[in-house]
Amino acid sequence: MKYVLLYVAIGAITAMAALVQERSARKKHGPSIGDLLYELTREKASLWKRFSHKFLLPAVTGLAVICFWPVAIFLLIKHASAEQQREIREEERRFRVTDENLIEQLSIEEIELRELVYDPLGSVPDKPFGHLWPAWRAFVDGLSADSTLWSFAATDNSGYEALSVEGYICFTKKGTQPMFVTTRKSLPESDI
Amino acid sequence: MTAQISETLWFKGKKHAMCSEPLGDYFLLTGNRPKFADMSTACWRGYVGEWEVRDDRLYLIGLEAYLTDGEEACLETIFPGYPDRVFAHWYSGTIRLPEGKMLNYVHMGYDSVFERDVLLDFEKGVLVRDTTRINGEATDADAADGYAIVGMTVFPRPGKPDGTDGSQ
Repeated sequence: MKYVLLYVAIGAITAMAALVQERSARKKHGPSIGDLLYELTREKASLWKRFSHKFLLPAVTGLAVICFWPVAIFLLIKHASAEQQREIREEERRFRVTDENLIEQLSIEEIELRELVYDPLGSVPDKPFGHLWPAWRAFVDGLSADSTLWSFAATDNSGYEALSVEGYICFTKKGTQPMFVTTRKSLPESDI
Repeated sequence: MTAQISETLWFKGKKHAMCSEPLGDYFLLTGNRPKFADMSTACWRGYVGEWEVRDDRLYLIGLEAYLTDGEEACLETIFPGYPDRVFAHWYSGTIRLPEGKMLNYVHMGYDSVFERDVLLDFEKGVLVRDTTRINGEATDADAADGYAIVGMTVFPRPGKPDGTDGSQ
């Protein structure tokens, strides 16, 4: 009898772990397609359908996990591993500026001097970066006193199309790379 | 997804449908995008811009949009102090102007194919090259001429449940 109780106890703990994982995933990735579809039809759904979705289905699922917790544990571990692999792949695809992309080190004053924008019709502010001036000031205001700025040109492959990206990047001791992008341009396939 | 209403570009004295969104690049670079109201399923970006190429420079000269609070948006909403014209110096890329008869209608984005595409390459708002790409010749004499979309769902203006502009 005590082994049965132990089996059920482990099953209950596994069910709680599965619930925590499900809530965590929902918080991170938002509601699932099933949840969205249910929300769209909820007002028209019958009482039985609402009861099933809110109480019956979770109860049956919980019971199944308690009864078959070895399978549930296997699936939980598999899911966690797949999630970890996905995050690693996403991190690898994330746009980063490397040393190869750096062009030259510049001061803020040097950058602002080279980024003045001219328009004969006067349709741009007479300030560095023109209409991007407020964004540039916000970027500069966020820099620390010992920041070093570099101009860069790189290719961003993190999205659905390759982009040529240019701008200015700041290297910090923390390893973060705050950057101010001045140009984003689709690359022709021949240039990729 | 629905085929999208195009922007408008005045180029060489002629009005063109423009299947590119240079203003979207501005919002990406600044991280600052007004809260545009959804106008219709054919305009997910929430605005329709009017552009002009003058002396080889790209200018934004008009904007049609509403904000989520119901207020009408204009150029000064995004570019205070510039009510009439804004030099699009932030834009580098290729603008596509479809021309001729429709060869293939695709009810998604700007994916429909037309007989020709005029491609304008810009570097920091300045036109550096314009080319024409020939996509084919329409065999259907009744094919639609010029960029158009087939259908869309229009949403009421925020704050105006009956969709009126409150002028009555």
